[in-house]
Amino acid sequence: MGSAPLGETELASVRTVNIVKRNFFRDSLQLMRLTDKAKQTLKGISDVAVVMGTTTNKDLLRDIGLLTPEGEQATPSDTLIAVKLETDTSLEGVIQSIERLLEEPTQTSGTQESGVSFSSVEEAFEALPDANLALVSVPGRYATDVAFKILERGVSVHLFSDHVSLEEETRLKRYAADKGLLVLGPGAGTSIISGKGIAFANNVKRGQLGVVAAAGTGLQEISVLVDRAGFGISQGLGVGGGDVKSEVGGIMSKVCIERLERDEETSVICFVSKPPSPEVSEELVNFMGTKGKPFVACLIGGSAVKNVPNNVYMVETLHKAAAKCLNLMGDSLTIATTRKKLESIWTSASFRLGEGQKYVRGLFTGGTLTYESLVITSEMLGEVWSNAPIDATHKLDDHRVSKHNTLIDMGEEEFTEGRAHPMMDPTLRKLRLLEEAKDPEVGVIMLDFVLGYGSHPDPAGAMSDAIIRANQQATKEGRQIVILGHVCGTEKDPQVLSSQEAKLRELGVILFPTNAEMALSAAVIARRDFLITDTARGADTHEKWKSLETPMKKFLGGTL
Amino acid sequence: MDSTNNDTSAPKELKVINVGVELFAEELRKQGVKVIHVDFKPPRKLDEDIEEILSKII
Repeated sequence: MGSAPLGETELASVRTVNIVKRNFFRDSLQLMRLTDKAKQTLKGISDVAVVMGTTTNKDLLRDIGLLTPEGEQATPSDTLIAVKLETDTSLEGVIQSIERLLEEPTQTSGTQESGVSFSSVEEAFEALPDANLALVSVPGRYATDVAFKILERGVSVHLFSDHVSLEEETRLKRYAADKGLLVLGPGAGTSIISGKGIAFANNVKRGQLGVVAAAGTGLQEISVLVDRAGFGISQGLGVGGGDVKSEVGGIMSKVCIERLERDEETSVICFVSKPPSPEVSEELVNFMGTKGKPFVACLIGGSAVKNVPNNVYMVETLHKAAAKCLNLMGDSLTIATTRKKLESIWTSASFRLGEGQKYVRGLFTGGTLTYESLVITSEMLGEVWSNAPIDATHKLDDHRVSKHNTLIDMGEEEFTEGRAHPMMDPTLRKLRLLEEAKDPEVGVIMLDFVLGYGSHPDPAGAMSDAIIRANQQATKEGRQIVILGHVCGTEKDPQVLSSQEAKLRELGVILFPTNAEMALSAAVIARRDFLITDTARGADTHEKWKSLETPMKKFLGGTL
Repeated sequence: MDSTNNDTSAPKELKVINVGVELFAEELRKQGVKVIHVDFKPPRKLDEDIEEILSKII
């Protein structure tokens, strides 16, 4: 502890104590695991958190009554230990135990050979001279240096790290492209290389579909839907969202498209991204037109491209991208819900809502899933607010407070500064769900559950108590909330799709096989005017259903 | 994906150096991938070092 500042807040039966360890770094996942271990093993405490002293973490500790004035002083470079001690517990004993946990070696699994870790990239290359990929997930300000060190050795990089400037990204990618290497990222959440999932990725079959993605959960959703139809992925290359901005100009997208065009295993290529800069869209689609293989281009929410080449099929959603890819491989998206089934779900769900419950809220862990949902719900509901909106005019003033229709991307920087990603750490989403459930104008809440490598071992189980409490909260106030869910995963994922879905169904969550179906359903249920027969005014039910034809065709295609 | 400038095909066997979040190394090992993990620690800034030395002297 040394001279670490110490602060205590006395309550009736517990004391809250904060200790700040200056300039002490552990990554957010290590600290999340350490906190879990401390909760399970320490006696005489009612709560504990060990976090980096970022604003996000201090906000959370304040909300749950774990922050003292001393803890307020912690900076992002400091580790902050916060404990709530029962009256007769020795502070010294508890702190010593936490200090011991902080000093423990970090390896948690592996044989002697596989579990070994090194302190520098140079040492690692000595131990594995024939390495053919590096996965880099260091804080953004160090990422470029680390990536260059690896590229200089002739090895490609998957750069998970965020907060790398577009200028640095361009420099890295130009260098890599000149050397015939890949820089996947920065901010690349997912790749599937030679059948292995890199960072956040699902366990999917190998097959003939190649994917280039400037949209991490876009790659996850498409690879999962294709796998569930019995097909597979040859290579799934995540290039990072910055690649399709005009500053970077799609450097790595083109390199990856070129590789997949030459790859014998790949017969169909899918390109997926959030909206690229218009000139990059045009350039990339034209580039696809110079190739021989068929392309499915899903530029979610992107502007229309002029003169689309004959071998390129433009689609609006991930759902439609998967359906078109399957179609090109000789099959269809058979897991899509039928129109009849959707109508039945919408009707019964909408009758559970009171008159004043008119708004949709979405709490997402996947950035692309958020974006796809924003595109769909904005068209059907009008204004939809977000911390990561389609256009800047719909940005929430405070990302911690929803208003009207709001969809939140909980993987954005403001929620992850010094914290593990919400796919791994459900804490903030659980608290936010309870907040949304308190709002009497909320009718529908959407939740995504992304399975696969890198994700929480039991995402559904981790949210279950919050879902139960949210429903209890509403019931207590004489309301019901309709909770919709989409699980992005396969049976082969470590969390097992069917087991996760069963847990959520048990909790009353209405599940959809695709994110687009969930988003469209949320809008239909919240609006209700698509559904409810108004015999008094002589409205024709059939006409009302017909008014859904356009959005259904646009976002779900002709698969119903 | 490759370790030479000429061969741009996907590697038959992935061999990965993981720098940063250790979970990613663990997840690759679960898939049977050979991984070497680099336990990254941010380089200390010079002014922090000087501050620490001064705090011991003064």
